[in-house]
Amino acid sequence: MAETYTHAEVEELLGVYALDALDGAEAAEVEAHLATCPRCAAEVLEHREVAALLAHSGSPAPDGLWGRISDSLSVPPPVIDFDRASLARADIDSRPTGRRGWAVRAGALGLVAAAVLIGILGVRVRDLDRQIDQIDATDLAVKQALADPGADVVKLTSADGTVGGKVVISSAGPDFLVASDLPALADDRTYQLWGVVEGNVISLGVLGNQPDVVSFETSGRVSTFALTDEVAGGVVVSTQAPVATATLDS
Amino acid sequence: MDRGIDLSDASDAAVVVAIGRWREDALAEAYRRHAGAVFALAQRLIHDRAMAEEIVQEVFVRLWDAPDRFDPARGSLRSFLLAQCHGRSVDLIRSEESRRAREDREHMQRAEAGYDLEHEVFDLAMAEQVRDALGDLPEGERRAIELAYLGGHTYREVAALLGEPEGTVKSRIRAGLRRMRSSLAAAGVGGTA
Repeated sequence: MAETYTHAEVEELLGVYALDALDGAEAAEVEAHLATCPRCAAEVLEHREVAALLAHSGSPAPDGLWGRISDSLSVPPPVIDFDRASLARADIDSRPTGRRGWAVRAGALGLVAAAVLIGILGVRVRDLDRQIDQIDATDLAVKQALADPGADVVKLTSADGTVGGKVVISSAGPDFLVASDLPALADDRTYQLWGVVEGNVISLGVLGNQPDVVSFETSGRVSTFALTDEVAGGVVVSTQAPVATATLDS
Repeated sequence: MDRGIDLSDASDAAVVVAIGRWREDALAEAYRRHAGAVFALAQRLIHDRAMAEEIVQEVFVRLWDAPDRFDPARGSLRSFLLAQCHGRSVDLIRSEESRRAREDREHMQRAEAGYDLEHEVFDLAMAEQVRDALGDLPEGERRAIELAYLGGHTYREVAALLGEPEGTVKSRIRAGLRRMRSSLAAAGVGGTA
């Protein structure tokens, strides 16, 4: 709708707008203005805070109502939007991640060749650049994993904080590496994901030079994740310092 | 492994983050904190317990389905939930013209008679500072705000009920809300910054 009210005219309406005391046409005029005027938008929010105090009540809600609400909730929904996923991640991302102590583990990476258990743990990696439908399916799956109340999200972090990526650990089903913010490597290089399971360093997958979202499954509990930059095709044992790491809370 | 946050001590913002992770106990916590006020407002507006309960249900299910619509940087969760409750209640009132006309007559009688018992009971549930701040308003501002917010009337209806020009009612409502905000802020109430 084209905005026809002046700023001053809208200002006069902010109080009644905040109290839902405008009719539809005038409310639409105010809304059009609010979309472009942060000062007026802030004033409406202030009025609503005051109005909320007018509605103050110490009374509890009626008995039985919560039960009906609980019964009507969708848990979990088949699809969630990215905003919701972002909201959920914001909390988890604030938790400490495992940068400390990786130097010790990095050394271990080169020392435990005999303990590499690729296959034994049933590791399965899918490069989602291959098929669009697979990408869609994985996007949906990772969204569902992010919505899972039992899932955990840990952030992979480089020493200087410039390299990221997130590992989504599901309570059931595959886990995911969300690596869309990793810088692309040269064509003859690849990222490789590693996990430390009971002191053993396991390759969790060769991800390609520009990974997006990758799913993987392990039968053991990973205590630390690490990403390394390797020659294309990947390596059995890494001698590289990791580009990013994450340690799970025990 | 840390699976979540301690909701009993969590801020409203943290509770909504947990709702974003489909934690029903987080929604239950938000309900425990705010459903009483949401229900009281809905019932005050529509005078129908069953419909008020439906609105409360709608407000909390919407919070469950779309928690990202709440932005803690833009105000409190309570004002967010109450604004949704108020808007939905008013929509309901205004969609029923006959009911509207009946309530107009009732409110006209109240406006003429002054204070009503129901209102007095409602007032008693307010925090003392809020009651004082409302009571300190000039009568015209107080009455206009009450009829608009707690009566669910448009400002044109308020003007008709009070026999005042529409422009006067607009100005009084805005001035009254700003005056209340200042006095509540001075009393340390509301966190309305």
